[in-house]
Amino acid sequence: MSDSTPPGGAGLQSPSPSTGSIRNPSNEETTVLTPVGTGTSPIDRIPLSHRKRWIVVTTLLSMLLVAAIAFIVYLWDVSRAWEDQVAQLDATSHDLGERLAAEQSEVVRLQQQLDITTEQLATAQKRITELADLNARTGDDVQYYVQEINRQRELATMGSTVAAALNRCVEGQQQLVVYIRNAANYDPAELAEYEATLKRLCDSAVAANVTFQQALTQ
Amino acid sequence: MTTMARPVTTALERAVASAALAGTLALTGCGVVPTYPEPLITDYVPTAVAAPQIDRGSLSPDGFSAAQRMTVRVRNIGCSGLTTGTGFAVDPYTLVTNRHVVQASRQIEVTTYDGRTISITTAAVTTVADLAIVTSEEPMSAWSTLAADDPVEGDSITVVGYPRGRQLTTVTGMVIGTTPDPLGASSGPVYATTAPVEPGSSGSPALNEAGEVVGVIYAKNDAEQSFMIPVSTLRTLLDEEGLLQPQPTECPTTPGGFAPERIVVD
Repeated sequence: MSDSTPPGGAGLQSPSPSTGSIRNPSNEETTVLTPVGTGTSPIDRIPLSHRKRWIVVTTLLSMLLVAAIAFIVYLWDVSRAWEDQVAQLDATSHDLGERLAAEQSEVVRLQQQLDITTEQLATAQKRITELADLNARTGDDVQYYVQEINRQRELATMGSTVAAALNRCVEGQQQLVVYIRNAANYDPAELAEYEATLKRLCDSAVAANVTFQQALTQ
Repeated sequence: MTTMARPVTTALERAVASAALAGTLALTGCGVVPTYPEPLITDYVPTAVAAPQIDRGSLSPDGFSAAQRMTVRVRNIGCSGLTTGTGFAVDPYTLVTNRHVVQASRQIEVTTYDGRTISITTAAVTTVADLAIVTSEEPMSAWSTLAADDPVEGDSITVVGYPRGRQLTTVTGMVIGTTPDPLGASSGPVYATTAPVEPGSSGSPALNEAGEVVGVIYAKNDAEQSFMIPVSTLRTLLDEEGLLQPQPTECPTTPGGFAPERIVVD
């Protein structure tokens, strides 16, 4: 502006508008800018009431801008916190998922083991029942043979008794034969009584022998 | 120009102020401003209130049911041979069986589900029903619970016993109804059932669905029906000892004795 304004050109300024044109000596048109004095700035040219409103609006907008920036910072921080937590939850979910998979695998393994154990228990129970049955029937056999042995023992005793009775019968009859051969030497009444006693003995022995024979056939 | 600019500016101010106010109210007053997340919990696995309890039910550690453990095989070492039947415990030392199972006995033994043999010290029979009460030397591992009431027609029953003196067996059937005792051994009515039994099952407990004794098996017929003495008769017998009389264990002396029968099942 100083290049286009001649020195001491203040008297050439046009009152209004602040710019104008003049002819220089070489007849060239030159634009003359009028220097702006105090109280003539663009703001100064805005009416005061408008200026106050613009100040209020600017202040409000500035405050809103600051608040918006603060709010954005806050939101950014909140968002970051949520992202952190999502990452944490994601990691926890993966951990729980892995643990769940491991537990499920363990459950399957334990179920298989339980199935095997149940099968083994059923087999063991069946075997116990079979052995108990075998044991019971062995006990029956033992008792049967105990009874059989007792019976054989009784039969042997009975046979021995019958044999002894028959033997006494035979001996008595042999003695009776001797007595009869020498009957003159004995009292006939005593001889008859001996013979009767011998007959009862032999009858008893025969009866015992019959009973014995019957017992043998049972 | 000035008078026209003033309303525009005022409207702009109002719009900005209204927007600011509305934004502030909308964001704060309505609660849509996102907040920081709550701190995460550290353990997502719930703590068990109590350790899980395993219901053993009526199973013993060896897997046999109470009904199997309380049921015994009765061996009657008689004067003329061996007979077998079934019995069951009503308390640790008292067992119930049929009178005809322990008749003419010189010695009585019982064997348990796991093969143990236990001697019987005393036996008592009654004339009011085909029932006998015997006392064991050793305690039983399980005993029965007597049902409060007799069964009714249509009730399901389970019979546990030693048919033909063989393995412990469990069969099921249904109560047909009451009938006079076909053998004339009981003074009161007995129950006919569809449970399949065999000789050797005499004295088997008949259990209801709750596992309680509702009767004692004692006979069968050709129509494959079984007969049981109701639990009410058994209760009467257990409550009134006067109805019981000792079972003699002496055998008549016979020259040479009797040849023992191999095995007879009652």
